[in-house]
Amino acid sequence: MIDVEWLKTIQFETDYGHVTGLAGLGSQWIVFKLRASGDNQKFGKDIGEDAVLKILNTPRLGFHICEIPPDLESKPTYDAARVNRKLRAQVGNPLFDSMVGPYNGLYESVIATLHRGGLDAIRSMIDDEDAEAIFAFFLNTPGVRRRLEDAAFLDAGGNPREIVTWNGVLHPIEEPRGTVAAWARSMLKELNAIVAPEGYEAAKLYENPFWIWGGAVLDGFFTSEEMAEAAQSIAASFGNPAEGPDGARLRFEMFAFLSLLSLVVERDELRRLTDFCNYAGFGFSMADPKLEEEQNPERAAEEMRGAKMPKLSPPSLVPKFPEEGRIDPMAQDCQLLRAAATLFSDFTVRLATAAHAAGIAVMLPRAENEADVHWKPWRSVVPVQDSASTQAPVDNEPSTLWLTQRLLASTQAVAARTGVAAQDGMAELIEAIGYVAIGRSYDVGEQPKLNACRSLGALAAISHRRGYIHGDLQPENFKFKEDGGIAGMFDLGRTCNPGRPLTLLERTSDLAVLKKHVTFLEWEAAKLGYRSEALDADKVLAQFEQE
Amino acid sequence: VVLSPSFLAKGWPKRELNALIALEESGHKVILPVWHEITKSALAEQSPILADRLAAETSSGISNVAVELLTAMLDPSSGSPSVVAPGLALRLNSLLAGVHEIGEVTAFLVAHPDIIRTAVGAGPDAFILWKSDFQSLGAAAKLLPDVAIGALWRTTGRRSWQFLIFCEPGTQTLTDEGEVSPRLTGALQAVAGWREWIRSNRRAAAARFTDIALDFPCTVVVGRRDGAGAGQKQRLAELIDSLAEARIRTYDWLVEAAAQLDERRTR
Repeated sequence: MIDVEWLKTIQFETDYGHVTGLAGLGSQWIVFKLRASGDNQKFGKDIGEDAVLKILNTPRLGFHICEIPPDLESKPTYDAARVNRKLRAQVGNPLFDSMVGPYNGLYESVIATLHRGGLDAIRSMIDDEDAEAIFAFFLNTPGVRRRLEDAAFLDAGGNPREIVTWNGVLHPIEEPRGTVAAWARSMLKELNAIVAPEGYEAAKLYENPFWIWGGAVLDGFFTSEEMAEAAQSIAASFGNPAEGPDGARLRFEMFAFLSLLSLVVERDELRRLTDFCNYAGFGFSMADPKLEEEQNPERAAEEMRGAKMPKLSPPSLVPKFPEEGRIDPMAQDCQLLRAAATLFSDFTVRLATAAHAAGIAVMLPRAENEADVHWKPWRSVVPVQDSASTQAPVDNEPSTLWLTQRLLASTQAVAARTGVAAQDGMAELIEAIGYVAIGRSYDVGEQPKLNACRSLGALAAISHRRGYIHGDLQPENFKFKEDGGIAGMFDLGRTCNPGRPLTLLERTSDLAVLKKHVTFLEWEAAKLGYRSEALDADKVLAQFEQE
Repeated sequence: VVLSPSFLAKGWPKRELNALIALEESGHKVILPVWHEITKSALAEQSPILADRLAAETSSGISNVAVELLTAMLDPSSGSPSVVAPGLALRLNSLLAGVHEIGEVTAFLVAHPDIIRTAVGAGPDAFILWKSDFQSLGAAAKLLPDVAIGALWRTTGRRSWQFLIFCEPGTQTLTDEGEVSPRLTGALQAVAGWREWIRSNRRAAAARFTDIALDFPCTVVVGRRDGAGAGQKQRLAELIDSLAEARIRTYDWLVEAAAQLDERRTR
């Protein structure tokens, strides 16, 4: 459990400047208030003092045990003895797997794999008996069952046709509640047939102190010297468990996790965990790719024998459609998508040309610049194959087209600089994209959907003309009336100042640090009592209705 | 009014002061003088009336000044806004100081649900559900914490839940021997019991608490900060560190949330 009260109070030094408290906590991001260093070289320019630092809201053990994760601080300030004391309290905590980023990431990654390809996808990753035993053990751990049970009851209290996002920010699965729940229930039944290796009771994982301390190591706690002390601390509290009667079990559990974690963490992180296990006397070794490449593979095998971790293959998943896994029925309308993509392309080319002529640098969104977690079907238009044939090759890097505040702001900046009215086409563009997005809703008739699209497009056009930028146009940020009219609006980003070109920070939403325009968090931050710089959304809406 | 040499050296502050004195003539005490780097004799030369008034002095320390100002402002006969129309924080604080029955506190919180919303950082659309709303849970209703808060995450379309358990305001967190008090022990056991019920009744729980996951936070509200000595605070910090499935907060947490609401309303 993240202690939000504690998060509000923490202050620490980062490479970017001094964090002075919590600015907002969203489902996807944690944002800290930051007094940036004046001569900060990270950005190549002075960004001013008033900034925020945003990090993905993935589990960090430090936030759960009220210790600042060392990688966030320019100079870690945790006290190893205190961390050891706090970790002792976590032994036996059945939720510990959800408190450590890599552990949680592993669980979510496996759940995502199960969701996409079922147990066959898992089997496709297994190359040898070791790996088979490891997966059998892992799939029996309470962390898998608990996550599936969370999903299995998503339809118990909500509309089964309502679309929800679950399984974390790194492996999100977006489906109607009823579909998720039905899948999870069937998967739970399938998992009942998977038997844990004999002698290994998966539920005991939470009592394994090395696994608990390993979570802290993965979160960046403990230097090499402190790892040795941590191992001693475990021995002092638990009587040198690696040597005790449970030694074989503890060793297997750590071996299993080290093997599986190779799917989700970098080699260096894994090496730290391996080092920690070896302080406890386990004697694990990581396969050395360079050694394996040598001409004498037998020697390499000799070197790696014993505790070498098995190699796991990536899951074999047959893509059915580029939009696989997304509930976006309208996205399968090739004509609609192609038309929207053409519209977008025309628009952006004209915009870029006009911007260039006006001496304004416009950074148009490109797919490779956007992290997966940002990806939202209602923000993008993805061209798809004409043919529905599964033989058609899937483009691994589709020219994902984005509609963000950058586009809107750039248009306004160009218009302001040149004195020429903003280009036509924005409203149509938004309408096309909005149509794709609103088409996701099963419960809305065709005419209200069209009306809603028209309303959105018109609203954006009028707001834009008045100098307002929404910043996060998506159906979830609007409340529609039954006839498709707009009844409410959230997340109004900020006003656009057309008298100046955009700064780097305004154009680049993906920087770790940006000016206080936390559009994605505005609504959730407002819940916490933080004031937004945005104008009153209701007033903008009232003006729109008047027009 | 902070009376300092700089204050007296200028004309406009004195005009402002004269206006305040005129206001007092209608019977309301509006001036609370604070002397800063000034002597009575120096002040008497400029304003004999003010020099005769009881005043706080910064030379005695800022915290003493604060206490004197608070005493004057909260004096029932002062007629100050804090007395005539006290804010939520003051009312909650007074309530906590004077009652021993938890029902009076919860009744106040039921009437002012924004205090809980602010304390837990939930938005206006968060559900606040009280134990009494769940009679249909039957026997399980006994296990239910005092209040459930269900916040909606718009980006995922799901709700997240957290629960609060209130101990009587006068409850000690630790005994004089530094042990966890029986009441707090009972509350922590109640947290464990509630988790176990949710764990064993996933469908029934999800039907009432949409989207509930097992890692929900549960907070026990107990005692006051100033009720513990340094040793007890250290012991309490260790206790909090040792809890994996519950948090402990004092009632000051709610008073501070009420103060935030007061401040927002004033603004």
